[in-house]
Amino acid sequence: MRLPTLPSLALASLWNRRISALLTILAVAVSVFLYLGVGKLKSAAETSFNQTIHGTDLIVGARTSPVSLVLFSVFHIGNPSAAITWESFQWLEEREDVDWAVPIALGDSHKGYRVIGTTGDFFDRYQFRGGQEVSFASGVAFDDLYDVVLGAKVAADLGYEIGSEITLSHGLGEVSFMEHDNRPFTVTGILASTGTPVDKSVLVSLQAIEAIHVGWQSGAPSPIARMVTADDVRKMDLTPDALAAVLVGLSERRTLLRTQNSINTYREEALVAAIPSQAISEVWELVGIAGNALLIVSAFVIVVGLVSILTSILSSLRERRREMAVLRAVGAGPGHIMGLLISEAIFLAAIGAAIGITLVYLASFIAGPIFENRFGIQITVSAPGATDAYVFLTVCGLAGILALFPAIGAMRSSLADGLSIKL
Amino acid sequence: MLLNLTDVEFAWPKREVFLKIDAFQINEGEQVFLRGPSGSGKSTLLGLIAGVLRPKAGSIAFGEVDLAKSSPRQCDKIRARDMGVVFQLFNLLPFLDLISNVSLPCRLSPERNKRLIDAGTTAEEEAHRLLRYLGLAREAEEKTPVSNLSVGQQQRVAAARALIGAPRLIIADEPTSALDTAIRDEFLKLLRDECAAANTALLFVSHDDHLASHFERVDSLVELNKARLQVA
Ligand SMILES: Nc1ncnc2c1ncn2[C@@H]1O[C@H](COP(=O)(O)OP(=O)(O)OP(=O)(O)O)[C@@H](O)[C@H]1O
Ligand SMILES: [Mg+2]
Repeated sequence: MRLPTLPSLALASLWNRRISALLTILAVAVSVFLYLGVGKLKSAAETSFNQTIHGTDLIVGARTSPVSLVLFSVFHIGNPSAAITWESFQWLEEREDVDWAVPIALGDSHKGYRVIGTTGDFFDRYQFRGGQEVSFASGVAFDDLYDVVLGAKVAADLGYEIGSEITLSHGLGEVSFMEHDNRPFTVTGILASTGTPVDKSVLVSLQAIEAIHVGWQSGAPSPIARMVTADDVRKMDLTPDALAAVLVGLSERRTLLRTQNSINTYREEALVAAIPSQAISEVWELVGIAGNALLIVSAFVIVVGLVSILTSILSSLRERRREMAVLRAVGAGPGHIMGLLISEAIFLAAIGAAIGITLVYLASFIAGPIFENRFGIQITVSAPGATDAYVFLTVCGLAGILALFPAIGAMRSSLADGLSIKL
Repeated sequence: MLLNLTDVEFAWPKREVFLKIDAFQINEGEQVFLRGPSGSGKSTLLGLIAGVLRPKAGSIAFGEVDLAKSSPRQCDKIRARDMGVVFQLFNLLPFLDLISNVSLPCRLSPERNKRLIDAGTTAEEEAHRLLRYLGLAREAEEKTPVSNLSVGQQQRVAAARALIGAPRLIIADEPTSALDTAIRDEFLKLLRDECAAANTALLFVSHDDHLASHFERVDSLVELNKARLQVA
């Protein structure tokens, strides 16, 4: 193994300073790992965010911004400022150009998880991540007024099984003011994990949402509320009067803009129809800023890593001035001296970057499943791609350019020193 | 003739002429002691002869080539091929072992390496032989780190490095000034004997006049340098 002389001298010299070289490599590796890791997480988060809902052509709500409509209807964040009437829902459902319509009612929570009122169609129509359908891990959809279906996370966190009896509270708090303890619901189905907000929802029929509120219309329980029994409620008219949103599928996708326009200009009620993918990417533009900020911060960390290469070279230079004179004496030229320092910098950067990239892949391999389970973010382990190559080359290139400064300095002083060794 | 300086003038950047040497020659295999007080320009002259510094005027003929007219790269090549340098101190690369330090010139100059191959040996073998000859067989064998050697031992390793591959000229810049008298004389004898054996010329520079008695030819830089005379 006879390497060409100068590279092998550079390596031997580095090996002689291996502790500091190792620390420098570590700094570069960590900075590259951070940068690529943040980038990977960000794009994975964006992808799964954009794939929260699929197959729904329009989301219709009372007049509001498409962003807030998507926020409360899909992500269950916030509340609608106004509701859609049952009549408007029927109008939507009966339209020629509408294939299906699934109503969504919001309102209550169960131990911090949002209770969603909908119809059994929801389980057939709601799709995510490129067309995957909601499926039942166990049990079946709700059928009876007091049946409830749980998202995967709700069931796992609260330890519910099929047949568990639960009470649904009024209001959004974890511990509600007053529990509807005389209205027991029974778990009939538990959904498989989707990585979407569905995992965190408690799904009941629209009528159930109404039932929970019997006697509560004024906001506080009227004396009747405590007296009505579950069976009394069954006999009441439970037609919902306020829906939060309607998920709409079109008969033909090409009518999308025309249908949207027609809904937006509906005379009986002020409605807004949002195209989910558009609205969600608008939401991502807001949420994604945090990711961009993180990416910028980690780009600066790369700069710090590169500066640590420069520091290690500069700090070694004084003592190596003698080595330079010796090398000159045995026939090395000023160019060799420069090459020695620059190749050292590039070598440190390349090893550091390679380790950083390897770490990213190792981490996404190990932590990927954890992220998918806990946050619904799917991290794909793919072969190193253009981004990695780009970062690798940039880091090596910048290291080489930064090293020009000490290298030119060393070349100058080795020219000026002549053959004398400066102590 | 190996080295022939004629009408050489040298000035440090932005200074007036510091060295002016009308004629200075060294024959093949000749051993020359050049004395001069500190600051008289000994190291500067050696830099010129080694082709590391460039003269303002004049010619520095080394063998067949004029270093003053050669490119810096050519000078580096010639130095690697045909010269050996011993400094006063810090001659060795601390990150290489003894053998690698000694064989370094052969790695930088293929011609120098080839001379050894033609002579039926290799750079490593020759390094071992020289170190043995200079009394460092055990240190070479044990791969003693350079930093663990005494100053006298380090100077001997440096001499071995200068001598390897039979260069035509060895430039020694006060190589003994850090050594005590007994070791100094022994070192000088080893160096001179090995130079004589290889027919290598030796230009030995020192401010220490006691060493002059070891040499047949002794020159004085103060007398050689006409620049000083003009100033005075
Ligand atoms: N790089 C340099 N730039 C400018 N002037 C220099 C430089 N190196 C040396 N000199 C000057 O050149 C003169 C001669 O220096 P040189 O090192 O050749 O002396 P020397 O005879 O070798 O002395 P010593 O016995 O102390 O080694 C000194 O006056 C010094 O200041
Ligand atoms: Mg000197």
